Amino acid sequence: MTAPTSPYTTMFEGFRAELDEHYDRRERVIKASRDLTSASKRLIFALQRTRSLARPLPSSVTKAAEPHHGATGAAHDALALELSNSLRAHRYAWQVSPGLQEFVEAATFGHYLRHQTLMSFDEVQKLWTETGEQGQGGEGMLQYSDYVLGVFDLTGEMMRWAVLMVAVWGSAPSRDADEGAPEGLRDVLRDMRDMRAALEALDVPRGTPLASEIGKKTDVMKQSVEKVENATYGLVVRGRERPEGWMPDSGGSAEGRMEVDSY
Amino acid sequence: MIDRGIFEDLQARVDEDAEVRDEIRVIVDTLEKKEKIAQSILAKAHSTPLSQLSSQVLEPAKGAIQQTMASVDDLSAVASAHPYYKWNNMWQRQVQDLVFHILLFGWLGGSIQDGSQPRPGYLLTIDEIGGILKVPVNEKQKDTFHIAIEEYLHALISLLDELARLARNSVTLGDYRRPTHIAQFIKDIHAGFQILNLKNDSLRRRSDGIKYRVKEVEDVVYDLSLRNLIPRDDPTSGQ
Repeated sequence: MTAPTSPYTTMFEGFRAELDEHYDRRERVIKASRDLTSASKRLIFALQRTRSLARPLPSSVTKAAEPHHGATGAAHDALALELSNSLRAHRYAWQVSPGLQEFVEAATFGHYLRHQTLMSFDEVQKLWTETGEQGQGGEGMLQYSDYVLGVFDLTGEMMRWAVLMVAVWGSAPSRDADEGAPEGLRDVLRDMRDMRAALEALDVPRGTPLASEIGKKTDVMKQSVEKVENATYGLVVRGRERPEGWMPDSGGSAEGRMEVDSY
Repeated sequence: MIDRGIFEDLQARVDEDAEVRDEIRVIVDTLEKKEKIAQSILAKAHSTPLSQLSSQVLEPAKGAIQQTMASVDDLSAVASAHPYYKWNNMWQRQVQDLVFHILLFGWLGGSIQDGSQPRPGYLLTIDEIGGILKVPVNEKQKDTFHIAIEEYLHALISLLDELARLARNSVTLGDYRRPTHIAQFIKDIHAGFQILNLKNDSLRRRSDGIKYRVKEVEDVVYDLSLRNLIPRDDPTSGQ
């Protein structure tokens, strides 16, 4: 049925070369994005072991995080190499976005634990360009949409951390006995509520890709805030009757050790 | 402490993008309106005998296509000020349609540039399309508006779909020669698509359908040759 040669063979051979180059690059970008996701997830896991707030990270945590910084740097360099110009950076933005979101999540979470402030988009962007092992690179790759979506996920990490800390705070003598709940938890809850309010106030035009991604993440973010609200409530209520050596283990939805393990 | 300024900055970026979106949408809507006029003129090719094709279809279509070019100029100017791949999905369909209509116009023997020889059955290359629309094609370095290879290939598949229909309608109009030309053309393009290593995307799905177009037109040629209706002087008469 098919003619062995067609007058258009040369033309299509040209297209094949271009498309092969595109598909191959897309594969490499997807691979590097997955590497970035996995390194960032491990970094977050290491950061979750922090037991302090607004202080430099303990050396045990920084030591555990070290190899993941290396892996993040390698993924950054692979991406910076592939997405060296604006055309490519945007062409593969969809493929690279999951990795960048996870990077934002890890960066902002580490920053929050150290400073108890939200790292800004500009700061994250700067950090990303400095993440490479081979000098600077990757400018213009991290979009504000990656940042917004990463910050949505940050609320989940703050929730996991806060819920874990309920156990620590709960067993320690309360710093503010009158209020019932430790100040630290109240601060985190206040920050999460502020973030929830600010994220919900973001007015993104309907029908855009960012709006649909935000739609997917909003419910999870709200649940995270509510889990911390419930944990705080539990501490307040039971804080008043807490005997020596009490551990939060029952009642509310997301406060016990058992619950934490399942995250 | 959460700095409200962070979110004010984000909202400003969102708003900026919304403005770009609105600006592009207005141009694309205009392009689409003009496109529909060109489309309705070219659709008459199915009901117009070859002898009247030039005056009834090609001349008015030329004017309509030239009208769309002003919108392409506008689009190119606005789009080139922003990252191409951030916004290209807003005009992809309209640009593919436009390229398809220019390909069809060219295949029917029309030419945009005055004075050039009409060449029925001719496939305009992607570079020629770029030349007609005065925009770059397959741009790989500069982040500017251009016609992408994928857009050209989508337009080419639309052309094959349209020609398969035209093969049957040519017979209805008493033109028994054109189906054999169309059959050869579709076979040649089909052979071209077969050397591409397409991944599982829309281009792959649509190109998988070309084999049905090949068969459709072969059936038309078969019906004609069975009844000895194909003019003898035609070298591709399939005898």
